[in-house]
Amino acid sequence: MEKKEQEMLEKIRSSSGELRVPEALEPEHVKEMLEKRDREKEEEKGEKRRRTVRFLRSVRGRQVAALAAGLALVCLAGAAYTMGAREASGSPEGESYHISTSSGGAGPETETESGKLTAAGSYDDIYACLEEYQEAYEENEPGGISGFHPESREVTAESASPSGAEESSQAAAASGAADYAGSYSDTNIRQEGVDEGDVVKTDGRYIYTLTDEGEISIVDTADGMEEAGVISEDRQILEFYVADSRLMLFTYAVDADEEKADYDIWSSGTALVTYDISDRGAPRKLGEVTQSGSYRSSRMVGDHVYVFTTFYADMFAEAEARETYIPQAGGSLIQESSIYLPETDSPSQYLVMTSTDIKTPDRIADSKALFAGYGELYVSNENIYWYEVSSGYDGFGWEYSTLIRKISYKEGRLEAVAKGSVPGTIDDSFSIDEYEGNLRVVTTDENANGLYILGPDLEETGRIDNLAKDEQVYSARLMGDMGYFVTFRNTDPLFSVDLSDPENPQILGELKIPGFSDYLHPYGEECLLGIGMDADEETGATGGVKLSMFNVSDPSDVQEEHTLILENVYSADVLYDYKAALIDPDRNIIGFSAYRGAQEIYYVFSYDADKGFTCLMEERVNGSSQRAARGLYIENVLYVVKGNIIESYGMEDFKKTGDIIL
Amino acid sequence: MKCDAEGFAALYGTVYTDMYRFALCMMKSSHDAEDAVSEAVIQAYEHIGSLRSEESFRSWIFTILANTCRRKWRQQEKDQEKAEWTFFSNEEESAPDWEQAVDVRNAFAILAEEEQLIVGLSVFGGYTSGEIGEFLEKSPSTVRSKLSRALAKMSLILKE
Repeated sequence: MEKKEQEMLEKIRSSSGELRVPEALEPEHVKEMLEKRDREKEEEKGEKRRRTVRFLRSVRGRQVAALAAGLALVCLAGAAYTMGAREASGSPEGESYHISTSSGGAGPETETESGKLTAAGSYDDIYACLEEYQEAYEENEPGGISGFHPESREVTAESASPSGAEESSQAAAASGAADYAGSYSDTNIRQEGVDEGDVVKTDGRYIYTLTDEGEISIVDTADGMEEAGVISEDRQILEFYVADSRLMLFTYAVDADEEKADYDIWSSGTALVTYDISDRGAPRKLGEVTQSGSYRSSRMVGDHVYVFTTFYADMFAEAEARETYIPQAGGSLIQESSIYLPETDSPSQYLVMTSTDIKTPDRIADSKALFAGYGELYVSNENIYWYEVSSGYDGFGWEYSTLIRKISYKEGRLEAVAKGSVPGTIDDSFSIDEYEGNLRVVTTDENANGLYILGPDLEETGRIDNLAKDEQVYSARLMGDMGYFVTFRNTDPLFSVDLSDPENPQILGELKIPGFSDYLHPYGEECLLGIGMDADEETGATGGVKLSMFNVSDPSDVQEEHTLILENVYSADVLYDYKAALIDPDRNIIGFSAYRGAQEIYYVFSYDADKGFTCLMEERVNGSSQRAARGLYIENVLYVVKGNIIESYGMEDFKKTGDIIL
Repeated sequence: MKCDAEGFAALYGTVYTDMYRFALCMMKSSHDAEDAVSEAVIQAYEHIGSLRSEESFRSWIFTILANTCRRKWRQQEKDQEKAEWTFFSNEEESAPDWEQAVDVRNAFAILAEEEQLIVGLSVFGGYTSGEIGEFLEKSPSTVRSKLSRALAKMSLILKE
């Protein structure tokens, strides 16, 4: 860590040094409180076992998981302990060091593996996993606990996928917005042809934005900006789609048992609600379907919406209490044969996936669930890939591998295809990409990186090992027969890889430049845009946000054609969330919001091979919203949307033309 | 490990000020921070059997505390949906604690939740980026770059 940062940490520390701790938290008080608890416990000794069980239930699998995650953490740090449910009984292992592996055979090797997914024969098969876990927990064996992952996390950007601009344009035309048929931008997505939900959408005339209140405001841009309608669900809306004259949104399922919902903040499921918006002033609800688990991500392809949720099983459930450990879809338990057993010995959650045809929005078309550890998602044009990290201790250090499960989807039908594993871990969904039936995966590890090509059944067909030693993959973009990825230590080598022969991938070039790119986006035929941070070549200390344009017309000799560093701009959402980018090579605009000082600024750049980057716009983003800022254009107007505030700019001179507060 | 309330209190005594400061940086009010610490203490005490050595006490209890804070965030989000959340009353409540450190609190306020955790665990928990990475399921380099960006953001507010 650089000196400046050390000083900052010290400063934060010292300035909070004078804080007084409330009296109730003084050790003396805490001691009394704990002693009182002990006494109460003693009095109820006869009931002790029941209490323990109740406590374990009340924390449910995930909090236990949270504790266990701490365990894994400290184990890694070299301090050994494991967690047990037993109360102060001596450990049979004494102070022994526990080595735990959660890898179901995919261990710390450098081998890839593949096979078939295992469906549950019955719910009892699934319960057997819980029993195994409970046993491990009670016996204080590490197996069932290590690698067990903490509670729900924010939906993070994974692989994305809207139906592409063409398709939405058609949709807009069909919905009667034909008069405004013209160009407009769509959500920046991971996979062309696979739409993704977002907090701001447009159909070429109306802008739909999720407000601070968690409602969707519909703004007509036909003549300036005017609020045309609102969709309010009485519960927080999370993300939505607009297609044709329909709007599909995600929200929490209403738990019939209010008290239960209050008590267990994870218990409520996720609902997909479909509205007819042909009359924007009076949206009409058409249907709603629900599934277990918290909203994680979704995709829309054709008429089908695919919804992915994370459902945490109550690992201490009684066998009969199916609903506490078997996920539901459409109000009933998912069938045994559609649930796939875990590939690691420490499952904690299910990835629940459903498909719904928006023409029949009251009915789930198909559902599947993977019993799994914590993982992430990539959706190609034909398949859903779920990948989770598995770790193993080989006696010297920890090694990581990634387990991948593949489910195909077509017209709403979900089918398990195969499973596989590769060494190392996957940086983000841009490091995993399907092309012509093959899956290409760029992985990174503490000290080595690799590229693997897997066939349709996830069997390895080719690989490049031991790339860029001691560096870490920061971003990747695999495009058809070519792939590019960036690793970083102090400088930023951009590698270009020829992927045209799946059995023999080849490194073609390597370009070293300062800083690194967090996000790569193709820009026209010959260029690749990188957005990242500038960094000092000596120290690796980061400076401002950096734009780089790479000329990739000759992949064996990639050139950094131009760069632009935004001084004092220390971060931008696009570095973590590709949906925050507005990039359109045809119109030659690159837009995103970034943070300078205490302000959020929306930047628009154009690019010219001779002149480099030109800043077209640099305007403060207004709106105190917790929502992320998005830029979009409709014909010749750029809209910067942040929750309740939309500001418009003419695209000839990028001067502000109007705003609306919703 | 095996220990009674007295032994636990002794270990707790070595870390409780940092625990409270950490919680205060994570939570929006001093009341919530106090709750978070109390809850973490009870959980830790109930599970002290899982702790193998005194040396790990600090990182062990900070992990529990960090998860308690995360759970409370989710709870608050949920509450917020149910009723209009009264930020201002919380503001008043917590103000007295922060007389001397109001800048730090403001600096924390501009960070995203994850950044708060990363900075908080670094400063008060004494964690390395590798350990935080395990906790957040991110690579150490991601944690490092997020930490450095978070600190850059904070430095703007803490300048003088």
